[in-house]
Amino acid sequence: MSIEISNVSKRFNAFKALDQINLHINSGELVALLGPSGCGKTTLLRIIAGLETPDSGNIVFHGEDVSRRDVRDRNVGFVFQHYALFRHMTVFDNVAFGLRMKPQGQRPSEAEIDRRVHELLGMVQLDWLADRYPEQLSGGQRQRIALARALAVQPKVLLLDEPFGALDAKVRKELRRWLARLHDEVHLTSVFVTHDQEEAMEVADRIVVMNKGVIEQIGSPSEVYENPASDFVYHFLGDANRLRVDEGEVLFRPHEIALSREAGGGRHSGRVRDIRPLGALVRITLEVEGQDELVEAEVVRDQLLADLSRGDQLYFSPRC
Amino acid sequence: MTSTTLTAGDISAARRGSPAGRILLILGAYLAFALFLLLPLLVVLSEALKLGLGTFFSALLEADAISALKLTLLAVGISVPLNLVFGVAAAWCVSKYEFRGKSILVTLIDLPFSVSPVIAGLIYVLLFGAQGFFGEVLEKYDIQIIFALPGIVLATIFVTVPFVARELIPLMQEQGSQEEEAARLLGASGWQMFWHVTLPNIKWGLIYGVVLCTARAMGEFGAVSVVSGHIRGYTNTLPLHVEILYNEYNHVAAFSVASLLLGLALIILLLKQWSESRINRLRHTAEEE
Amino acid sequence: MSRRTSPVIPGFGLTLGYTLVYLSLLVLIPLGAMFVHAAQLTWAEFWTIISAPRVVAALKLSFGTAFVAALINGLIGTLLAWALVRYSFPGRKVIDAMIDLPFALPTAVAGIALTALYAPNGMVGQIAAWLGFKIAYTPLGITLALTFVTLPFVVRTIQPVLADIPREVEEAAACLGAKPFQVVRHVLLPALLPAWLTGFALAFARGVGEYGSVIFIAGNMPMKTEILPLLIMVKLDQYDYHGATAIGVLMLVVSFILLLLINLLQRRIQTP
Repeated sequence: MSIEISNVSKRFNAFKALDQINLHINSGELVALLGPSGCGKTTLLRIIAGLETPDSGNIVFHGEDVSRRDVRDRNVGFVFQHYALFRHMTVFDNVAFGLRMKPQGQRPSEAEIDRRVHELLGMVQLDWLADRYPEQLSGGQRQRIALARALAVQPKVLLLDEPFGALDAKVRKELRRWLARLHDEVHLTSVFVTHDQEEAMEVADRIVVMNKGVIEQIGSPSEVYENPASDFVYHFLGDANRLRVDEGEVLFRPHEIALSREAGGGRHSGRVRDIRPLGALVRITLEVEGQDELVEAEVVRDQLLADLSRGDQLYFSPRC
Repeated sequence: MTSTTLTAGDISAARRGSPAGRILLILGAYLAFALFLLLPLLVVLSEALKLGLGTFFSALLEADAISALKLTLLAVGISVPLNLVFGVAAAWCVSKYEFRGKSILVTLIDLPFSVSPVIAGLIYVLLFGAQGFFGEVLEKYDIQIIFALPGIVLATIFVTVPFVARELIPLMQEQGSQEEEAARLLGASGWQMFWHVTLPNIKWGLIYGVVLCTARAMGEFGAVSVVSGHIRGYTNTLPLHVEILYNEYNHVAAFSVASLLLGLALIILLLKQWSESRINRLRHTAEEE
Repeated sequence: MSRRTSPVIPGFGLTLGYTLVYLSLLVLIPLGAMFVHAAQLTWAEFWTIISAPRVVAALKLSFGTAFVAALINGLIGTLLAWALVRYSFPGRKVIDAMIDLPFALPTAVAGIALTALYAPNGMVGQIAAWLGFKIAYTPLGITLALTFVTLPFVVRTIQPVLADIPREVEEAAACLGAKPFQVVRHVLLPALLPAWLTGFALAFARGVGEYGSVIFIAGNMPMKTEILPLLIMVKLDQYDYHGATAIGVLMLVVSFILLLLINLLQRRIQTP
């Protein structure tokens, strides 16, 4: 199921949350809406879901305009940032909810519901928690139950609002790999919102970078990282160094740098201010004459660094 | 804490106050409790049982007492459900939507709390009394509101309007709307969402509000006193019956009926405590999320 | 960004409409009717009624005793709330639950119970009589009754605020060298003041309008121990609707002005 978003705008009083958004999402694609908080990404997601009505513009699902259609009939699965599990229902009842709400004719029998719910719980690997209440689950478990609940009604589109935002770093990593795998299996058109560029890079097929209610760039993870369309995208997608040179300034990432003890070859000079080991890499912070901004270099440990200490003079050149 | 001379003891002392102050405060709490709460309670019981259990029960089983009890239950039975529905509706529109004038609406909902019960009675007399705005019309069709059940119910509703709404509004604002949104996304209709998601979530707050509302409705005196006309056996509620007995110097009977109301009040306190602890538990789990 | 209300939650029109209709029919229109009724009086007539010595005496008595009772509660209530939140002692839970007794107990029952206690032949009244003063049938008795019925307000508004003040705030102050008294004075009181004022205002408003618990213990002597609500009652019994209405309007207006002032004071405290 493809999603076509055309000319969508939304204001909240004086605040322009979305301004003329156009976006095409292919069937089966996993797309990340990436941007800082307040950029309009969640509003866009809620408009796709039908939780919010746009002031203008249309949402088209597979050639069918759903802009005026009620949430109930859009057939989207939605996972809330804080999961919004029904706190007074067991895990089983949470997942079964969507099936039980179906009108009389379409509602599956209790036996069928039982089978489907257990199948879904098996898929999220939490079958053994069926009788627990949400308050008894860990964050990661709640997240997966919320996903199972959203998938129970066999949606054609899956929308996730900051799906890993409320989890701690380790669980978050596990879960996003798991989500990427799950998407490969079910191949459901999916859109998720995140403010974490690493998350978007790792999980998404395509990334939509948003800022202040407009789309800055749309592209595959490598496209947006390697060919950023704007300074904003460049800065947002990773750490960046800014170096003043005669004709203006150069932007480069900490790993895009060559270091040397020797001057010459158009290299700039810098004084070592700090040295931090980061696993396989070492981060060296350099003070550069003529500018206040520090330059960070992330390089592989080698002989050069073995006897490096603070205050040493180094020469570097950006490699971009 | 290594570089200062402060010890953990100093800090907790700052928190708890000096031992002498603490003991003084706790003793003060006992004293206030005994003087203000326990003593009045014991007096009601001792006065009621002054002449033995026989007189006590005969005061309770007297025909006028029974009819006063029936009227009280009837007034409570009508006014509490009406205020319950109102409270849910008011809390719903206040907590789920943003609209202009919302804070004025909340102030208006609370208004009856700052109006004297006697004024609550007075306004209905001015509307429906013999000399009131609708007095002639009502007389023509022989409809009795003042000095009859409808007046008592109206006055009771007025003084208890805010109770349920007041309890539900903060609770529902705290819970937010995401569970309702999730229910809608999963295909629930408006009513299904309300019955299956909202109602279970606000259940304890609702019970708490109803308990408070019932307590006040059952015991309302000033407002009902104005509109009832004190017709023995017909328009006397239990509190009014207590007043009449007391003014007739039938103190033992007055205190006997009063102790019945006291018993109901203690039951209400228990129910209140119970529903409150359930709400706190809900809040606690909500905070964890 | 705060979560805005979503358009998918149904029932806005229905619930707002119902709320407005219900409130209008049962509260606003009847209250408005009283003002319409009062408007039938000329200003001079109105003034004559409310400036009568008996009315002025009742006005002073009602607002005075309610004010003093709210103040007493401001003190006792704060101490009670403090003890209940900060200390654990035997019977704490029972006392905590019983704080609400004045709300649950019908006011008429409270009225006769307090009278039985504080009348010259009552348990406490005898002691007072022996010491040479009277409690029941004096303004003191009225104040006492009002203190009883409004006891829970200050306790219940202060309790949650006191419980929510994080331990760290006080500890930080103590680490910075504040003495216990200074912690109370500079850290706790400013945090409690808005809630305290709310409790005070609620107690005061309730006290001004209170009827049931007062009339038994007051003695109801015109000019001496007759409260405003009772005066309205007296006028009604004499079918003097104009008099009752004028006093009712006076009471509401004075109450609202005072509540408004408390509200303004509160806002000033909260936004320094």
